[in-house]
Amino acid sequence: MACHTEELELMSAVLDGEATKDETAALYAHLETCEDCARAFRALKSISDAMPENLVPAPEALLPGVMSAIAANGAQSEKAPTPIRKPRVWGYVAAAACLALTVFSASHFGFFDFLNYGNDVVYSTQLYSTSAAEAESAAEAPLPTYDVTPAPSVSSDAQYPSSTPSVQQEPQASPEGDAKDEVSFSVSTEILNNKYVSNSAFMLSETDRLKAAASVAFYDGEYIFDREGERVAPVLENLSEADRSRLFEFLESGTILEYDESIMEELPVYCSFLFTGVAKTQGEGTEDLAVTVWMYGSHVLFRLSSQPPILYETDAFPIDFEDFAESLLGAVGL
Amino acid sequence: MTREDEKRLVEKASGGDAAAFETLVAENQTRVYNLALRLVGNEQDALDMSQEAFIKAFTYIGSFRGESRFSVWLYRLTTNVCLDFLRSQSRRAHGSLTQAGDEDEEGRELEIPDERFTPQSMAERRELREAVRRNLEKLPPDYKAILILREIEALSYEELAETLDLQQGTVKSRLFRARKKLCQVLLSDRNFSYEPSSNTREEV
Repeated sequence: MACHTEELELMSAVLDGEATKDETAALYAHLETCEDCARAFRALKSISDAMPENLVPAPEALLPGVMSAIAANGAQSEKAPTPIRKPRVWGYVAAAACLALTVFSASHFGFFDFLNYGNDVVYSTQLYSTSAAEAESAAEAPLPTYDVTPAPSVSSDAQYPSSTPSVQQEPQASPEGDAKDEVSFSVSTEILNNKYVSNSAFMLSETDRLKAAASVAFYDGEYIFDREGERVAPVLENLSEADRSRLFEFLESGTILEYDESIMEELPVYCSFLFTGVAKTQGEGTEDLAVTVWMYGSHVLFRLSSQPPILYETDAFPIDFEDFAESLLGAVGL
Repeated sequence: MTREDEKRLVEKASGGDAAAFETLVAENQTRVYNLALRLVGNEQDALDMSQEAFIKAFTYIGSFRGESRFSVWLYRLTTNVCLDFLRSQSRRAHGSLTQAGDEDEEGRELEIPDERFTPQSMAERRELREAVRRNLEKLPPDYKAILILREIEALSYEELAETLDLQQGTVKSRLFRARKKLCQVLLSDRNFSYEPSSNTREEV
């Protein structure tokens, strides 16, 4: 088939989290109307997901070889490398059009993979910076705070169920050494291939800190390092407030519609989302809450853990979190 | 290692402190070696290229300004060493440089990959993964380098521009072309041939 090169190039940038919000929105709009491009996008994404990612250890001879060559001053005859351009100010890139991760209800136990593009995982205290556009909009409209009862403060251990380790107690040694204890998930958009919804594990490919693990799966408020099928160190993780704000920013004010199954037939489904938080259940303290979110154009479909799905119509930013959360929780009787 | 630690070590190494440099090598050798291994495709050459890259790093560490990650600077050295090596190999083999053209010599259409590229089962995923690994080898060095640095090392476009000495606009188009090329070689891979399964969807 012939596709527009422009769109294809844009797909590549969107997959990398390097497209602007407008570009990303334009692409998604196009994908809704062009099945060929939607297919191409899924294919490109799958191929990227299938990149080899296991690191092998460096041979033992490497380090001594280097050091003895240095000691022998053998390096000096090397031809000079091309001049090193002065590095630009370092900026770890935030995916411009970011949405979030995903999750699942325990009853389905399916995972989603996350794209390994852009900043699926960022170190919230150090490596993360927002794009200029985001910074600007953030300056104009400070992110709402979430003092909603069911939502725990990310930094407060006491609010987590005692059986689950908090982020701060995370035992996983960081290969990066300097990685902060707190990992937050930035939100990355993805067009969710319908097929992926059902059965396959979406794995977050290794990025920096997670190099040691081949992949990471998230569910029910935990993430799990997975190295060749061997699970390592489940850790409770929650979205950071900033990421939560992106989520809810995205959800806009809107109306809850009657759930109509046929919405699920639409293509391309946008995006999976995952939001984990802690919800109050009646008389029982707190429990993990997982939310999956699917987007279909102006419709958003939510599912909270094993509750029935909620269809939500949305078309304007931003929303007030409390209102949103209340309507959401109210709708499922929590 | 914090960036402050790294900075201190780099400063010491710039002053000729071999022990400080050794720590930096130990810290970065896995990444450098894996990058080299993926670029050159075999362990012996990857070891040689990694060592050469580190020796260069020690020699020229004074030109590292600390404004990018040290690992990104090392990637740049490693990539250059490997690309030089691959080009010299290819000159030997074909008598000419194999370089990825950034012109649109392949036409403006992409043969869109079929459903094989959206695997559903874990077995299909493994197969796709294996096919990608196999076919990555076949790409021209420049395409291979940018894809590996992006997809596996997760460098940003800015860092890619830095590492590969390209304009950012070129980064974008070269990445796209590299992906397109990878699609093409995947499509022509006769060993990658499972039947696409039907597009079904379960209730979530």
